[in-house]
Amino acid sequence: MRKQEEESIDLAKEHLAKTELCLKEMVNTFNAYLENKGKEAENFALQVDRLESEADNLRREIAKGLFGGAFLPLFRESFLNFVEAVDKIADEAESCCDLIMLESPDVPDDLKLSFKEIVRDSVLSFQPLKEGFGYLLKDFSLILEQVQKVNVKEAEVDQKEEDLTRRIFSSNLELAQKILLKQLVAKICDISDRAEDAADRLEVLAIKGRI
Amino acid sequence: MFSILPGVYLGWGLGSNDAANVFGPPVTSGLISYRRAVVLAVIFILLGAILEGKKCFATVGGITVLSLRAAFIATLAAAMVVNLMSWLGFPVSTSQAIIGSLVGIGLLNQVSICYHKLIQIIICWLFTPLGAAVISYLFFLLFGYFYQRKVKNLQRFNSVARISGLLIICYAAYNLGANNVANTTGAFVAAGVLSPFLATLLGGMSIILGVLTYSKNVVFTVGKKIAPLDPFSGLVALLSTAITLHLFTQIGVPISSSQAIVGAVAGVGLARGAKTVSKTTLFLIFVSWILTLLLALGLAYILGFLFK
Repeated sequence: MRKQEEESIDLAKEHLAKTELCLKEMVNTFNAYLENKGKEAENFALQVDRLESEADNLRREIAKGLFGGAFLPLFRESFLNFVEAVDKIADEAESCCDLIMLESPDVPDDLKLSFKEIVRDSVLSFQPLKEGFGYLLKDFSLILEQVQKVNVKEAEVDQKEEDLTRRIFSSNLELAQKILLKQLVAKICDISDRAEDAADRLEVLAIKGRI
Repeated sequence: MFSILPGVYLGWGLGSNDAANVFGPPVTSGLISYRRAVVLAVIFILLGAILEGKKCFATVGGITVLSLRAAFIATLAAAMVVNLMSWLGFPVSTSQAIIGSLVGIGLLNQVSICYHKLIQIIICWLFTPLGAAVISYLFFLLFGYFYQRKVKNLQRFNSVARISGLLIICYAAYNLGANNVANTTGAFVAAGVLSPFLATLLGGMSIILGVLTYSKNVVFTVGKKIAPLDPFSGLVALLSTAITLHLFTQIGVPISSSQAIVGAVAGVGLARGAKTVSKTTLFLIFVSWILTLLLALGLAYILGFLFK
């Protein structure tokens, strides 16, 4: 394999790992916030910021490598599209943390568990995406299975988003609080939406590898 | 030296147009850079011309009896027709142009024309796109079978496409030189002006001149017409074109690489169950066939008459 391609693949792996870490820290931020550990949540959120910015730098490095001629042009654009889609997942994680740290939405105790669950599930959609990228380097045909897993997870999260939104609006909370919580739920679910987008890009890469 | 200039002119036209058939698809699909493709094409066109180019001399020179003046006019007329047809955007064939003009000059001089050979050549031309289509159809199925099993990931795809692309370009350029060099200087060999070796050398160099000076734009326009195929299909089409050229070189008949590649692309399309060649393209080939022959025949006749 050409050196440039090897470097691009290593960087993309690193980028995925960084995004995964970013999501992990986001879950920690949420858990700490929901458990009223404000200082801890703030520290985790700072980690998310740092990791997101590192992921950004990696994305730029990957683009530079592709500009230098890594991969066939057929794959180059799709590869970058995939990396950019993954980067948006990290962006969403940062955006979620920003929302809770800046706006401090008041989550009622009876909804806390549901919030924890939806955060966990939304982030879980990233796992098959990461595995799918691994198969890009092993066997194109196995990617579609992972893409399907991401889609299933995203659909589950969508359902949970609907249920939670319904619960928020059927509660006795103030309208402003309801709207803020709805925003927060939507932001959390954006992560699985972005994972689904990235999975679609990965699917394009796999399809291009077939005849 | 002046008397063989039309051969250089025709070779230049061939190099600037037909080289695009050989390395257009790999260059536009990014398998290889234009510069590297040109270097390889230059080396292998010349090698093909020198090592196997003389196999088609007997066919080109055997159409009619040629003097130096007749060879000069026939080659000049063929070169002018190739230029005109390229300018009009037809998939022109130098083989059809030179054979047409040789028939024209033979008719003017009222010397014997070997119609038996002419019919054989025309049959071969008919089989050029058909043969290329059949070969590419079979190759697509055969190589596709192995490809699906062996090329399973991104790195292997890149390596296989790049390496096979390089090899196929070399093979195709070699066969372009081998099959088509007789078009440029074959008439002069028959007229006794050039030795076969000198003719292959000079013809090969003139094709290279066309590749070096004028092929870039043609490569990118022709290549893009073919390269919407994925790299695998593009390479199968190119390999089939090269094999078609190779087979016809062995029986000594110069053919059209443009028509061979269109046939090969159609064959790939058939194998994929997709339409890769439009009816317009097929119609253009048919019209260009008739027009090239008739125009070359007519122009050679008129030029010969004017300079009698």
